[in-house]
Amino acid sequence: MRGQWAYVAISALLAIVSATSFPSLLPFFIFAALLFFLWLQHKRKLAFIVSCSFLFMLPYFHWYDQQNKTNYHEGMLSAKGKVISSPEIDGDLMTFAVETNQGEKLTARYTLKTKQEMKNTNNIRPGDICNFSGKLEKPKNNTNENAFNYKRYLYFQQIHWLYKLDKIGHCTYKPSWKDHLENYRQKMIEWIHHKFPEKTAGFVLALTVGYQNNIPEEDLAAYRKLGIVHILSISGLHVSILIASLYFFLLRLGISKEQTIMILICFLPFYALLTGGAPPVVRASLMAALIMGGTLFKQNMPLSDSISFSFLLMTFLDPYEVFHLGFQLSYAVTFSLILSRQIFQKCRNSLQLLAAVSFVAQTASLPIICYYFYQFSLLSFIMNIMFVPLYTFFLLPLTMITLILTVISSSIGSIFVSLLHTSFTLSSKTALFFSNLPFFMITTGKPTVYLFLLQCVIFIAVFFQMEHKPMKKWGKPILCSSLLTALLLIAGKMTMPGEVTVLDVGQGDSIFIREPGLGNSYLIDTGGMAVFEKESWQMRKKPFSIALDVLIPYFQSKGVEEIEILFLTHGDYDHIGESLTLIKQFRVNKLVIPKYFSREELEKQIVKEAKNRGIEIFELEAGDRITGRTAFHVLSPFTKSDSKNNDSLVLMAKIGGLRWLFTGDLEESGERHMIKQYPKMTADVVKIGHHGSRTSTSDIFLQTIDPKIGVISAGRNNRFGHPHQEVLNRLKKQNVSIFRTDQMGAVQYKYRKSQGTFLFYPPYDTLTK
Amino acid sequence: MRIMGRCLYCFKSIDVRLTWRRLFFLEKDPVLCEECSSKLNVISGPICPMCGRQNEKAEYCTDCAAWEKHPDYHGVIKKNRSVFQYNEFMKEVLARFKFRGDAILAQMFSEPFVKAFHHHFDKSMILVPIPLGEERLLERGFNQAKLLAQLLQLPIIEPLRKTDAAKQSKKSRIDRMKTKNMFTVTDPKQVHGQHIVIIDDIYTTGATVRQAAKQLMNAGAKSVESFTLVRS
Repeated sequence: MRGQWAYVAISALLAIVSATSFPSLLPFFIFAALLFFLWLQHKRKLAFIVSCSFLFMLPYFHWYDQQNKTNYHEGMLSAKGKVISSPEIDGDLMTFAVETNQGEKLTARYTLKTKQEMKNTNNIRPGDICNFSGKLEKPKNNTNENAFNYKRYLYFQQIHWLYKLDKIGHCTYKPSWKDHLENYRQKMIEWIHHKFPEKTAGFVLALTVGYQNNIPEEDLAAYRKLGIVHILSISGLHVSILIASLYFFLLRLGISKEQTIMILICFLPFYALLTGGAPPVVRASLMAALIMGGTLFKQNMPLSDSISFSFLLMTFLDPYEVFHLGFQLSYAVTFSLILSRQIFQKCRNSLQLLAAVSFVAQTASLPIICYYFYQFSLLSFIMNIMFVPLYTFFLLPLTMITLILTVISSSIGSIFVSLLHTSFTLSSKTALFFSNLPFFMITTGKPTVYLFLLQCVIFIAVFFQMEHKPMKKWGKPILCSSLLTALLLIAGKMTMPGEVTVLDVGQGDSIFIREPGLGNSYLIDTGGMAVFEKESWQMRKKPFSIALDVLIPYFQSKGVEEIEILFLTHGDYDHIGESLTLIKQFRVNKLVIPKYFSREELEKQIVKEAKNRGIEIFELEAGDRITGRTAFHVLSPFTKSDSKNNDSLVLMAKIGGLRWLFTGDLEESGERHMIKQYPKMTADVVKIGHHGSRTSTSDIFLQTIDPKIGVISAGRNNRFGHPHQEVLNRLKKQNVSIFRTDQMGAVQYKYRKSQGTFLFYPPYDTLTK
Repeated sequence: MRIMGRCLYCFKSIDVRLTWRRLFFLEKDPVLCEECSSKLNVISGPICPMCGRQNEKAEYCTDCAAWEKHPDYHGVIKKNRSVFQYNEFMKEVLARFKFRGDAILAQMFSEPFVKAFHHHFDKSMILVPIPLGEERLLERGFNQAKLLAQLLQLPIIEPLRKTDAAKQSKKSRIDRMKTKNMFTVTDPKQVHGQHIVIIDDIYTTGATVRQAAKQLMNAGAKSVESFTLVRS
């Protein structure tokens, strides 16, 4: 069995995946194939153990999942509960985890009302048992395709409710040993904050206690873009270096080898908890403990076995871990590195070794990166070769030394602090420079499961070749696999259906149109959120932006790298509010605006910015048309009126076999004018004007256009009461099916040629009427 | 004797660490430890086109030139190919394998032996292992050439009989070139019109395979080649 435990771990993983992807039998077939091959190899005993692992994990996961239920109901709740995580304060929002006296975990949120309150609530810490009162709300599913699913994220942490607190009552402090450890960690965080310059403190915290939240968002984004963000989290490498240095340090002190190992094994769990218990740290600590434990019993455990045991242990304790991105990356990369031993043996010097390690790690993580982030940087290979040694051999040791010196004496430490500060600033500047080179970002789109698996197969084939052939002959397989991957990417995009998606951007409009295959993409309006004046202490570190957090990730998930035409229907903020951010952060080729568009400062600014960026601008009015694979007819405006809404750009297009009418915020009088000019015009789908306001969508308009479907783009519980009941009644009277983004999430029509289906992304699993 | 997870030859534990090819069953579990397998020298690079001995250039070695001048043995074998070079380690292995009867050691050659055969020969060939004298077979209990031939899992015929009982390995090269042919063909029908590969454990001077080949050709074989485990 030695050296074979990987198969047992793989079958446990396949069992979990089988259980969650049930109607699809693909993982089960992969397991069957594995069993078949083991049988062929006459590994009967192993085949038996592998089957046991699968047959245990499948019902075990099912049982575990059944236990993950809530005892609460939506609505008000007053309960006694224990704070189990350190509060995160972002602007005026405080978030922490609570375990109620019924033993259920909740995500508590509290909006701080005054600056004074922010200072007071700082005292809340893990181990506090408080009287809470507030309202339980269901966390939402993603309401746009491929967006982050908050409900699922919390579900995997066994959390079913958001607890919006009104009041945090009297607290008593009754900490467990874990709480003590967590509070100690908080003290370290505060201390580091106190001793280091702000920006450097962020990096020091990340590298020492695994606390990433204080790294400036701009730097974090640059590191993420370049594929080197992993060096800012405590990785297996950190753990091994730490263990190795402690090991030799303790031996030097004259402690026996056996005792040293015992001490280190006892120390590891504390270290894992102190650094936040992230999966890579837990994985590395477990592996180290297993290997060191093995030597105590004179057992030389192969790395592939120790990683497999750590996997089996972690998934037994919490099978949901396998859905955690950090867990997936950590295991995929480490396992690949372990298997690539023979590849690394061919390297003759440390530079070659560094390049080979970087290549294997990059290649192994690429399918996962594409699946979650839809893009990767061609520079990431070179960046890893640059930054990994820089951090491992310079910045990390320097950080540790500085920390120790600062503990001993602030004055000696301060020299090192400034050195550290300069180093981090320089490395960030370098990262920022490279991340801003536009050419190197490749947008892949979200791969389908089959594309994902194919990509894995290609990469494994490269590893075979590299393992088998001398280094001189690596060029061909690497080149071939790069070409194949590129081909796969293009094939993936070519087979994508077309779509018209009325995105959920809250109260506002944003409609995305993508032609099938490698066709063009269009966007009608960008949405925009009304911003309320806030004091500086209330501001979030990274305020929510529709363009950055909804639109651009959505485009990227579709493999879209540029918007051919951005249509802006009129100057209201909920339609064009995100335009500036969008054209600054994403490639837009043409801008189409109605005649008489620029009325206020915002419109003028957008036009100016577009001009500066070399975006072609077209001012269109009724009667104009845009030709191309998808033709747009402009039906309004005719003349300038004194209402922005009435001068909305109205577009008609035939897409996927349906006639679509996009009305912007056109009001009743505008509608009347339009149908007078085009009395015979009909449409299958109408984007209902002005979010379903009673001032639009008159009876006569509906009678003339005679739509089958009306799409209303409105925010949940918006303060205007959109859509108005009158409009809903008018639509019902005309037998128009109503699709509302506030209830059904994004309304999406996916089509090939002239056939298509409507899809919805509702926030809650059951639609409430 | 075979213990799982231990080297077939020295019984030290084998490196069981997974690699990509092993994970996907593209490489069988090794039967030898790294140390022992490193001592086996596979013939590679330029070889003598006749006897398959590792050579500086791909041209006839002096031995083969001499053989090809010999009136009786000119052109009786098309070629010989061998898997390993002869060295101290191989000497020990062969001694244990042949003279001390550790028949299972044949498995340690299995993978390279099969691989080299398919590299040099066609699947349609018929295998003829060099026989042992009757007395020797009784003494040893198995014919090492036949054990090797069986690794290839191709049709084997045994049309040869060995008449002379004297051990080849105790004679000099000149003696061997002169000696009377010690093989006879018992069943010429089996041989007639066939393309044959003679299998033996070692090719030293080439006398054994050539004598056998001569008889096979006389019995009507279309062509004869030979494949041995070791080229000394």
